[in-house]
Order: sequence, then C-alpha cells, then structure tokens
Amino acid sequence: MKIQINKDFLSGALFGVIGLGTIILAQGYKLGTPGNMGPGYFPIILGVIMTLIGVTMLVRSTLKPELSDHVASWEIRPLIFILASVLLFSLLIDSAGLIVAVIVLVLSSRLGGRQGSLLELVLMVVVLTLIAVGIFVYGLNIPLKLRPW
Amino acid sequence: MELLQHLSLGFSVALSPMNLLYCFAGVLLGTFIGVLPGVGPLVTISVLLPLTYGLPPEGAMIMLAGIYYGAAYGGSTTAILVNLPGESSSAVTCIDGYQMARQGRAGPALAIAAIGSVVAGCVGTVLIALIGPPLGEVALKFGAAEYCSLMLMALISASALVRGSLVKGMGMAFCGAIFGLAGTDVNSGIDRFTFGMNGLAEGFDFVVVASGLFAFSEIIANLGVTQHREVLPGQVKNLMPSREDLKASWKPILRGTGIGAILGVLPGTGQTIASFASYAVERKLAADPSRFGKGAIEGVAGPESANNAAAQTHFIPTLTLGIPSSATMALLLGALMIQGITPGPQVMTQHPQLFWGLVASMWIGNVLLVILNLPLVGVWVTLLKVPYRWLYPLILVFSCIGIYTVNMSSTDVAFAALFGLIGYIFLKLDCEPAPFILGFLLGPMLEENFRRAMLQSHGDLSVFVTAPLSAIFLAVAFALMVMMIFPMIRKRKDQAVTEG
Repeated sequence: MKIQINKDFLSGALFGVIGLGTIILAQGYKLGTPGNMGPGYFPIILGVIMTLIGVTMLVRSTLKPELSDHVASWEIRPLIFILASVLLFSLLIDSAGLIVAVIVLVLSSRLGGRQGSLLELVLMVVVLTLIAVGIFVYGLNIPLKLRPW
Repeated sequence: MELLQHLSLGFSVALSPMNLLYCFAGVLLGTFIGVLPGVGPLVTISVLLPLTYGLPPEGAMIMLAGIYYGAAYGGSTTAILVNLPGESSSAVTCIDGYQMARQGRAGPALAIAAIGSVVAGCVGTVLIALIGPPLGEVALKFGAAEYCSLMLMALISASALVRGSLVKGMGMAFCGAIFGLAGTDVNSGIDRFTFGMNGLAEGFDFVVVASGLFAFSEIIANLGVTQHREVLPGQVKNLMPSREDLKASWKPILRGTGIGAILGVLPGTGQTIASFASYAVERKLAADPSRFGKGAIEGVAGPESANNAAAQTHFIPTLTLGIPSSATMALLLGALMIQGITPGPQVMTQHPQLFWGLVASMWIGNVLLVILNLPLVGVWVTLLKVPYRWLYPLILVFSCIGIYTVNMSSTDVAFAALFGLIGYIFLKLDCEPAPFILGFLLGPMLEENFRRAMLQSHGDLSVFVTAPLSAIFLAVAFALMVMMIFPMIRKRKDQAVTEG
C-alpha cells in the first residue's frame, strides 16, 4: 500500500497535529472533574476529537486515495507578497502612520501580481491613499495617526 | 395585534431618516462590491464591516443587512452576465442565466432575478416576523443542556452540508472551536493558548479571523490563476420581461420561495442546497426539461427566489437563537457582538427596536434593491470590466485599516495575516471555511453551556438525553450524520454543492 500525499491526507495530518498540539498545551491547565470542570477539560475533549478526526482522515485517504486529488499548485509568489504587505502594514501603522502604511501596503501587494503599468501603479497609490484618509479619518472620524511626525 | 405594534415600532425605527440612509447606503455598497467579479458576499461584508463600527446598533445592523442582500443580488448579476458566481449559491443561476444573456436576453434574466428576489425577500421577512417571537420565547426557556445540543446540531449540520466529506467538515468545525479557545477562560480567569501574548488575552477578534480567512486567502488564490472573463459586449437592453416570461416565472418564483424559506431555517443548511433543490424541482416539473441549461427562464426564477428566501430565513435562527445558519450570518452575529450585544433570544425582548427595526428595514431594503438595481444595470455592467489587479489592493487597504480600528491594535493586523495563511492552506486542501467560522463563534458558547450543564447535573452526561428538547436536537444531529454515511444521499449532496 502506497501512501498518497493528497488533499485529504494533508488535511488529516493538519487536523491531527492541531489536535495533538491542543492536548499537549492543555496539560498546563487544571483538568477538574466532569461535575466541576477546570480550564483544561474542554480543550482536551476538543483535542481528542480533533486527533481522532485527523487519524480517520489519514487512514481513509490511505485506503481510498481515489476520493481526493493532489494539490495542483501553490501560489507562492502572491502568498508571500500579500502576507508580507499585510505584515508591513501592521509594523508601520503605529510608528509611521496611515499614509506611509497604505502606500507601502499597495506597493508591496502589487508585487504579488505582475500586470499593469507604472503609471497605473502611481495612480492606484494616490487614489487609495486619498480614499483611505478620506473615508476613515474624515468620513468616519477615526483618530488615526496620519504622518510619522 | 402584538405583531402590529411590533411592526409599527419597527417601521418607526427603519423609516427614520438616518436609518433609511444606512439601509440605502448598505444596499448600494453591497451591490456595488458584490457585482465586482471574484468578490462574494463574505468578502463584501468582511471588507465593509469597519464602516459600521461607529454607528448605533440599529443603524449598523440595518446597514449590514442591506450590504448582505445587496451583495447577494450583485452576485447574481455577475453570475448572469459573466458566468462567474460570486458564491456557490449563485452557481445554479449561471447555468441558465448566462445562456439567456448570450441569447441577448440578459435584461429579462436580470429583471426576473430581481422580481424573484423581492418576492422571496418579502415572504422571508414575513416569516421572520411571524416565527421569530414564538421561537424566541421557547428559546428563553432553554437550559444549558438544550443550548449545548442545539449548537452541536448546528455544527454537525453545517459540517454535513458543505462540499467534501462529513469528517472533513467536522474537522473544520472543531478546528474553529479550538482557535476559539484562545484567551482568558471566563470561569477560572486563566489565560489559555495565548502563548504569553497580551494581544491574545481576549482571544482572536472575529474581524481578524474573518478578514484573514475570507478576504486575504481569496486574494492570494485569485492572483494565482489568470482569469478568463468574458463580459458580454454591448448594452443590456429590454429590461422588461415579456408577458410570456412572467407567465413562465411566477410559479417557479413561488415554489422557489417555499423551498428556500424552509431550508433556510435549518441551522447550517446552505442557500446553495436551496437553489439547487429549486432548480431540480423546476426541471422535473417542466413540460420540456431539455430547455434547461439552454436559457430557460424558470431556471433563473426558481433558484434565485430560493436563494433569496433562504438568505432571509437564515435570520430566524441567527436572531432568535443566536445560532448562525451560515458563514455570512456568523459575520453578522460578530458585528452584533462588536456593538456590545450578546446574540440570543433576549435580543428580541431587550432590544425590540433593534430586532423590529431590522425586520422592517428588510422590506424597505428589498424594495430599494429593485428600484436601485434595474436602472443602474448599465453601471454594474461597466463595473464588471474592472480588472482584479485594481480591486485587490482596495480590498487589502480596507481590510487592514478595518482590522486595525477594531481595537487600535497593530498585532491584530499581524494575526489577520496569520489567518490569511491558514485560510489559504485550507483553500488548497479543499477544507471549507464555513464550518470553521461557525465553530470559532460557537465554540466558547458551547464550552460555557457544556460546563454549566455538567455542573448542574453533577457530572452526569445523561442530562443531554433526558431533557426532551435536547434529546431531539441530538437525534437530528445523529440522523444527519447517519444520512451522510449513505453513499446515495452523499452523492446527491455533493452534486448539489459542486454543480456549476
């Protein structure tokens, strides 16, 4: 029997890891009794169920690999750039303010896709910054820091 | 007569100038964003959620509800004109709607979809007004055991009815519940699963999870594929459906409304199932079934009505029991919590102006939808041509600022990126996020009620089967699980949710 690394197998593995992780982390919390549960009781129940679900999926995907297919491709480039742009926003918003954060967000997220001219990019940065400031700061009166100084 | 009093209270709230404006803005914005290809109602609501933070609760819910049905309607416009469903429930509309559009009958298809939606929306709203209060009264008597079983039933039915196997769906639901554990335990005051981070003391914020899971992961996936979009050339002319169109459609509209209204009440049952069921019924009842798939107007009228009726009756368990019946409803409940209102049967009695104002605004909103949409079809067609590379930076900017402004916390934005990654992995592994978000929302309530029920019964599990209502909920959950084991039923379900 050959193990197929298909979508169901990977999901099962993921569920199993999350389940086991929950059980391990919950060891640090008081268990209590069924009639008076501590903070650790319910997490352990969830963890056990989750692990069982994970194991079930691993076994089933191995016995019946035809039920699921392989992951065709991973969109690595957009994955990295989109997540990075969000993280950059979170790093900049407190210190550098809204304007810088939005500009960096738009520029770096643009690296995730590759089409479009430079002029278009400049226009997008200007328009989106204006929209962001206009709607959130002036329209909704949210006290956001605008500039680094 | 009590109903009339309630409704007059509702209309007095909904017809106040500010709330009318929120309703109008919601419907307009919802349609505007919902029409954009590749942007479904879930993304629309998570992106627009921050706009409602500063509003009073009634205004916020009225606007969000407007966004919700506006986005649903915008989605069907995209389905008909571009053959691109914004969400799975409008996939069925694509089949005949797009064919009609190719035959130059986009106008009547859009008009029938609008008429069907408005009929279904109005009937659905009547049902909310009629069923809500008595159901809420019953629910007020629910003890911890009943609530616990009800939530379990909702989670299992949500897991059973998504694409893929029941086990996988349940895995997602429990996964959501596990992520919901993070934060301070209410009973003992101990921080759980916070990894020592202060930002996690109150758990992951709902907006953080929703934006990451729905908006970010979808952007990443959309950027990976080169989309082939074929917007129909030329103008949409002749909006008015002919007499024959109306004659052929009124029965499917009514049948679709009935099917959708019933299926929408069940927690976790999708609009997708409702619209597919309606399509199947119409094809079966048609004199000439071969017309279906080639532009039969019944194939648009029925499913669109079913879809909208279910969308409307989804509000019944959501508002009266506090149990969301879909991922979008979970978002609305999340919004309610941001407003500081705990969802549940007490909402109706403690905040009658909110409940009845919302119900009344749904009538107004549904009518606004038609008045607004039919003349604006030209604008929507132009919007369909907006390339995705202009859209996703806009979605990112809105989401990031929105997440940040919930708690003025930059850590929240970073967590959202984490959920974007998680959501993207789920997407690639065909793990449906809907049960996850339901589990995330219901998990903490499930724990609280489970612990309370067990405390009251001194640790005796049998309390869940000796309380009659609780036993019924568990029996339904069990029946659903057994049903999914039968390959016949499972195959039908898979067909229903993957069609199109």
